[in-house]
Amino acid sequence: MDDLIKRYIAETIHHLSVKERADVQQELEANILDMVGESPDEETIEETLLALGSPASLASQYRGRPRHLIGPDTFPLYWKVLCLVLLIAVPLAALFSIIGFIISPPAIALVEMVARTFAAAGSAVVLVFFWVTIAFALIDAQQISVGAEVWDRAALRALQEKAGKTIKANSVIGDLVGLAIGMLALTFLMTNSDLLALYSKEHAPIPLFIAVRLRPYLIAAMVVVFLSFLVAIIKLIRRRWSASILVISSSVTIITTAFWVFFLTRWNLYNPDLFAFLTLTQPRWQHIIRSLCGFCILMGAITIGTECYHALWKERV
Amino acid sequence: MYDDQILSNFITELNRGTLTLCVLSQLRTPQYGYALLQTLAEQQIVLEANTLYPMLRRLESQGVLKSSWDTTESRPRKFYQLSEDGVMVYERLKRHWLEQHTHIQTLLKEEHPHG
Repeated sequence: MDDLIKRYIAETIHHLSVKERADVQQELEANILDMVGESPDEETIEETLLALGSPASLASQYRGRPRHLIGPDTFPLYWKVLCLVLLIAVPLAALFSIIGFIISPPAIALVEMVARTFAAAGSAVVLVFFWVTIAFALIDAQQISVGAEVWDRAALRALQEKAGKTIKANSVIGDLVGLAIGMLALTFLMTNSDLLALYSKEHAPIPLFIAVRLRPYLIAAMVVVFLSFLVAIIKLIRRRWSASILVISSSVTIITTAFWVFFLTRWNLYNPDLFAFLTLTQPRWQHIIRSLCGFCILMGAITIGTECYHALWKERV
Repeated sequence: MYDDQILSNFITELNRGTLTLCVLSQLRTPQYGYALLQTLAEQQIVLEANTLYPMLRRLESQGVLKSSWDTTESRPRKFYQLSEDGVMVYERLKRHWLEQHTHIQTLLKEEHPHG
């Protein structure tokens, strides 16, 4: 077979999923050889391949639907969320940086401090862009589209229902901003976990955690925050409570609560110097932490309860 | 003069659904891609190869066509034919098309009663 045909086929199947490549390759080979006929000259081959269109366009015909990282249905919402989160998270990242300088002033010139503040804001732009894009791309890959809900008489009547089943955009946007800030704070703590400390005029800051042990938990915390971020975006897309959204949201709340309880009760993470400074015995400290875990569980239960009330409200009235 | 590109888009839209019907009409007996392309061209049905080949695969994945490789010739060829479901789909599409065609003809005649 002619080398140009081989290269054309190879380039076409490169755009397809691995499982269909071998099949399409075999089929395209047979079809192209039929089209060019026996002992074709270079010109015939070129004309045939030009008539088939570019490898990318031919592959898109085989795929049947266009590929998007973020589809046209979701893009306006993606852009809105991205701008909103950037608008709040970037100044906050700069503020975190300035607070860091105030709490523990580094021995550097003012110009360098300003440069570092700008760098922190720049990092926030990259991070927000990365997380928001990944979240929307995942949602789009799962085909959770804006118009995916069933449109029938029940859905039509639901438009007239009281606001009980509507997910308020303001509250979800508030969650998104809070979660984005949480994500930034966790990223900041990855390299500056010593700043999470007890400060006093008489002593040097006493870190709350042992930095080396804390890092894997910070990564896990980022995953948990990201899950909540995903759920918030799904709520913003759907804007109405349904059984599936309730199950997803409650599951993530349970996972989040379980994670924080697990994290807080890892006793080897805490800095013993802190107990010594606070003159706390370990049983007393553990008692305080367990109370805090109880509070986390209570908050989780309240969140799930409130969501159940909103999602199932129609049946109750 | 109306924009040729827009007019061409209208014609593409008009043809889109009917091309599937044309392809199905020729597949009661097994045919391979290029032969089908030629058969359709002889019947004045213009269909690009880059539309037909992916269409055949798509129809196969939808269960409308079945395929088999013939390896007895000098080079292997993939033959497509209507499946059992495909025959039923084709018959219903054909009936729908003929009814639609009658309605549209009536509409167009009303538009030009003396035409």
